[in-house]
Amino acid sequence: MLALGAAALLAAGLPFWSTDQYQVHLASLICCYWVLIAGLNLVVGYSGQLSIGHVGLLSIGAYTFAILSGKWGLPPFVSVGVAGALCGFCGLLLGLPSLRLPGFYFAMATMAFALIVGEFALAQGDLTGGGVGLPVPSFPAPFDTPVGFYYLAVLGAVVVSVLTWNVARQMYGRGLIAIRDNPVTAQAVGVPVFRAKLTTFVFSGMTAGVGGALFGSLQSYITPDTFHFELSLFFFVCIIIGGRGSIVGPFLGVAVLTALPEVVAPLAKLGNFFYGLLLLLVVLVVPEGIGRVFELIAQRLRPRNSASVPVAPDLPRLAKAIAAIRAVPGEHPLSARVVTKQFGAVVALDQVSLELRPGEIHGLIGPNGSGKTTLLNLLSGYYQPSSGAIQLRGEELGQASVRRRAQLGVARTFQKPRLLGTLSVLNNVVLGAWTHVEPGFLSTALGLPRVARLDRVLTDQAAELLHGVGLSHAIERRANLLEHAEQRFLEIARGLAMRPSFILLDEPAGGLSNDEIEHLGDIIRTIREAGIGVLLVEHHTDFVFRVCDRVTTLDVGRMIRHGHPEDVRTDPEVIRVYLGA
Amino acid sequence: MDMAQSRSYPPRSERPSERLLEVRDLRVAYGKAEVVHGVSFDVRAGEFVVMLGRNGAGKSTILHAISGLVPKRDGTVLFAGKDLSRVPPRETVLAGIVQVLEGHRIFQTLTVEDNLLIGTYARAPRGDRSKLDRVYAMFPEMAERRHQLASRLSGGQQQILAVAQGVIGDPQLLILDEPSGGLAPLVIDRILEVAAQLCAAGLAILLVEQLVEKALRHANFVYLIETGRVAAADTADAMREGDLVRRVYLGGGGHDS
Repeated sequence: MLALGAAALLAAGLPFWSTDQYQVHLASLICCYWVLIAGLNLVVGYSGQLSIGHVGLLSIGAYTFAILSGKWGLPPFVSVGVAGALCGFCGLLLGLPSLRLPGFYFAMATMAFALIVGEFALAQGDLTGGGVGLPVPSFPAPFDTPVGFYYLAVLGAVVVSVLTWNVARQMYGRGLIAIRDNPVTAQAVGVPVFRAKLTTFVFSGMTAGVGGALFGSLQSYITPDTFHFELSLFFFVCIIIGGRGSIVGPFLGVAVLTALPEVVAPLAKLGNFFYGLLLLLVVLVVPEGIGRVFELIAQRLRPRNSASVPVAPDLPRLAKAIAAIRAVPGEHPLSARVVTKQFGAVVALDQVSLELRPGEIHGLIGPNGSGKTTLLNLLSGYYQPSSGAIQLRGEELGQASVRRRAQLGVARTFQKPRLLGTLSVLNNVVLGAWTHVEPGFLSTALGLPRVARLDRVLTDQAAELLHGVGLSHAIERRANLLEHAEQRFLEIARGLAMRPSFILLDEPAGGLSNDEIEHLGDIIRTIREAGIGVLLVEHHTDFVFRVCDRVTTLDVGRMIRHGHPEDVRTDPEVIRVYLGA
Repeated sequence: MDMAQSRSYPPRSERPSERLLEVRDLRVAYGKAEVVHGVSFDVRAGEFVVMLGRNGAGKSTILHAISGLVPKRDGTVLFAGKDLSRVPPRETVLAGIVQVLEGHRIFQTLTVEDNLLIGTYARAPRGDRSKLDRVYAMFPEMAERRHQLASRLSGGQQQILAVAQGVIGDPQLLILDEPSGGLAPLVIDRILEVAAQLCAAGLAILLVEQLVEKALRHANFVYLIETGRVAAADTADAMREGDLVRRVYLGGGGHDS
């Protein structure tokens, strides 16, 4: 925030210490670009959707402004608003079909869009002036001088910065990063993946429209050539070398990349050479972008103790932390009734029933490939049963999505921990509370106090959970720096932050040493005492028989034994197919 | 039930004299943080060596350094008299070291059989089909699924495939990094049994494992790793009888690390 203030002050003072009109023009240009790029940054840098077609939206914004206020005589500020709204709508039309496409196909779709817009502008001569182009009117006084316009552009840049800053730093931003780094996790905690991607994309369309209007006015005359495709790549490159998941980084990216070719202008033709050299340097030296440099410096200034500490849960604190966020435990079970799951001709699960009761630890064991994870995926909604029913509180869950089940209180962990490596441990856990905020883009962007307050409360609750599972020492650490056991415990904490009625653990003891398994057992028992139902898929059978209240055994998709741990352990069939002598 | 099963291949009281793998003063660092601080150990010809230690003690890093998967800050790795200290991973495979990484790392988009053939790649870039039968005999569940995509296997089956992919490469030294991950008890027993059989046939085994009792059942010699150093080294018999393992590793002490 301090940095932002300093930047704003510096920007405001520019016309006073610089007498060079060209520098003011250049600074205005940076601000116009930034209005677009700040919005695009949420799409590319946060939600990870590779749009390279934003020049199309920029040109629609510029033409809309030129036509409305120049030809039709609408007030300029009304025209800017219309340009923003129209480009938001174009973003919606473009995003609806294409945001479902994976990675590079989405990039292709946006590129195609940009090319179509260019051809359209060329073909519709009556409206756009065709290849001859259009004059773009300037804004009314006091914004009709270069310095006046500059302040207008700075204002636009500041507004967009604040909006995206608010989004990035709160729950919505965590959700976007989850979509980028691990869509499965995003689903698991209940982020509406497609809707969030689309909303962000529409927002980026609106900022592109406003940016386009400002840009057009600054250029004072536009032709289809003004919006060449390289400009689109330029926007994209600014974000990538600025650093994904950062706001300051891409801003520096656009500032440097816009100014650089001009600063070295005396070397005329070498401008592009330096531009290329800088790109190469950034990619080779700081592949994570300029934004990462600041993080590294901050780490250097505040060295943290990153020594390896054995994980030691604080159980009373954990119990308290769970109780603080949980409503009255329910009484109804989560159940699978005679479910069958087929993949093509392969029957992975054959008429299996299982009832997971609140406040009970239910073990699920069986040979490899017997269908344990398949059953877990059916309960958590990643698969739909071929026949049979999944019920919660007596209600049929049917085709309910993963997100819907997260809302209903079904949390899970994964065989291989699925964490968001670039976020802090704390933020990973806070993300778990997504469904209890259901953050709206608009209310987040406007920085409403109630949203900010809720975010702080959830952060405190998440920190308590982390203290409880024994990760006090790692709260501020980047999650990709955690050791294996810490990752496992972090996933459980994230699951608990979802305030679940049921938590499904897929091999939580995998790769843990004996004393860590003891800690895990303590944690699971504490979760049970809080009234949460635990499903434990696990191969450490001693552990399973020790902590579970009931155990179900599967073999090749069928249930072979079900009941009290001691009965299952001594069952000859279970011993034959699974435990061994 | 672990103890009920007797050992099929009792450990020898003395180590063989021929040193197959010699690691001396190995240091490894990630950035500035050194995590392995001068580790020395051997695996001798035909020996079954187990490396124990807490999570984060540096075991996997040591294994990765042997295969050249992470750069070494210092130290030497000799294998069958050859200096492998500064060679790329491919050279270590050609020299006869095959490492099965933890966490069932296989090629998801290939079939089971193609995954196995890739295991023979270093010596036979077109794939050596003649080796398939022996491996299918050891792991019949892979034979049944030979034409399935590896991504369709369950997590545990993928781990079996990863081990099979290592075995088919015919190494002189087979390194297994937590092969039990995600496996059913019976399958763990079988994989360790396969390792012991290979060992009896002359192969050397270096095993990292969290399931101490199961791992010790087949081992000849044990190294205990603590915070990047060798904390103890002794025959498996001595380790089993002494309380060192329990004291340092099973949580009785050692929290001061």
